[in-house]
Amino acid sequence: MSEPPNHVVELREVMLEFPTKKVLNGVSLTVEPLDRLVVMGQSGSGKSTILRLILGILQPTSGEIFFKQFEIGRLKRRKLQHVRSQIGMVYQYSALLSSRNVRDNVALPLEELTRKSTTEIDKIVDEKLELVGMLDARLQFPSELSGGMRKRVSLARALVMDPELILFDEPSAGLDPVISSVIDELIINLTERSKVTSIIVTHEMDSAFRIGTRMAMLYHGEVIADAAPEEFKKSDHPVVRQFLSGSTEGPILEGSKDAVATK
Amino acid sequence: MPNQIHPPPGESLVTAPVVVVEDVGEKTRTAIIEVGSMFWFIINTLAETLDRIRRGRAPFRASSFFRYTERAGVGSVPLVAMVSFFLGLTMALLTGYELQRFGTERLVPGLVAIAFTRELGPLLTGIMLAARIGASFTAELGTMQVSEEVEAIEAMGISPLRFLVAPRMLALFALMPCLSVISSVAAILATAMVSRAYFNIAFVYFQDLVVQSLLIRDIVAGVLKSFMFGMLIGAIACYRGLTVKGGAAGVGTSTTSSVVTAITTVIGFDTIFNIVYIVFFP
Repeated sequence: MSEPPNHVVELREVMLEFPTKKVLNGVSLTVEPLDRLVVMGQSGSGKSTILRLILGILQPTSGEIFFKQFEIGRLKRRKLQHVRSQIGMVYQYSALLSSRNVRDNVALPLEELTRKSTTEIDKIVDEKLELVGMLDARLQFPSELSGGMRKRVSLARALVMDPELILFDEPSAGLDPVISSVIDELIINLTERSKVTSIIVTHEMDSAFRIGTRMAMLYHGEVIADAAPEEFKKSDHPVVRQFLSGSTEGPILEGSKDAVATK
Repeated sequence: MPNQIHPPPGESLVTAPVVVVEDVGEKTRTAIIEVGSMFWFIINTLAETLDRIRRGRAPFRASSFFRYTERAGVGSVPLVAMVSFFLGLTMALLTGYELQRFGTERLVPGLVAIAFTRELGPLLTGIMLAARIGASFTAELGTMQVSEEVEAIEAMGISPLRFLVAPRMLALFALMPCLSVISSVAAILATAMVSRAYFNIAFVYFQDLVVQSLLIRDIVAGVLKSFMFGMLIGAIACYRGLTVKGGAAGVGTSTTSSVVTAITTVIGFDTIFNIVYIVFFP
């Protein structure tokens, strides 16, 4: 066996093309242990696609994706399932199973993927729900919860297998600023306490700078900036500048159909 | 033809058949691809379920299997029994009145019994289950697909085919024969009542006539068919559900398509089964 690389995740020259659109055009990124990498970019720039590529739900047109020493695209079904169980994913709209209550939602990976007894599972589930402050809601159904609460449960579900990597798809989307800050703090606390690496996809600046230990900016399918937050703020790349200021003047809207609305 | 609304008369004659042939070709191609992916869908579901069993674990929880058997099986009993009862009643009456003219109304019990055990029982049950349960499975899985629940399950490292599809398919596979037996029994019961009321056939005599005319091979054929229909309906419903695209409207389209495909497939396979059965086991 070759020496396992030190990175938790590595993308090498990843290209992804759909019949009608080129989504990623040679993206290379590495994520080191305990990083909280924030991936930013416009809506539809392929941020969430990167998360799906890491999970092996989508296959890249070319390029390689590594999770630790495993190359995702080459794994057999069973091995891929094993790798996926070491990665937690928090979806934009939580994606909780609506037919199961909070406890059963969080317990699902344990029930399906481990041989733990019900008592053990209950103990772990309670512990994780306690971490996200949702222990009281354990018997409620997802439809009875607010967006923020659902996101917390989803976070507990992502943590329940003690993953090495957690992926967040727009953690603050659709939440009010206060709840969104609460979720951000939760992400910081939990990832620090549980010693997990995470990748956060977002386009909300405040949230991004609060959470990130590293920032990457995606534009037209390429990574145009990859730096620590302070450096990132100082970047003189025109796209990054425009994105940070939220101005309508700049390269982002040039030639874009969205520009029509601004004139 | 950018600026032309009507093509010149000569051209339309030439292009129209080409368009039709192209269209037929495209539709056939899509249909063949669909049949292929449906086939692989069933194979993959079986493979992943067996893989799990080989590792010494239950492929899905008994409780989830029984939830579907209850919904698909027990819940369908009233519908299946009622429809079959009325159909048996009508069939006995109609054939009875015709046969009476030749004084052969004592053939009615055997006629209905054979028709239902071998043919109509499984077929009717299949059609009813496709509409009642197939549609609900497609809508349910389709909604889960649209709300990213299926992807979330996959992302956890759980196989959606094993976790979501296998218990549903097995429930229909196991319950279909039971329901078609209920259908046959209900129809025979209705025939018994009609025979007693209109054609003066006493219940004891009726029973003799039915037992005499029924052959084991008819019953076996009916049961075998039911197993096959159950699996087909389950597979089609789940396949359509998991391949939903495009939000709420997509769920609607897929549900319609699921019912249509399932009913057509059931009738189609019934025909193939009959041909094979008659040719190879005369």
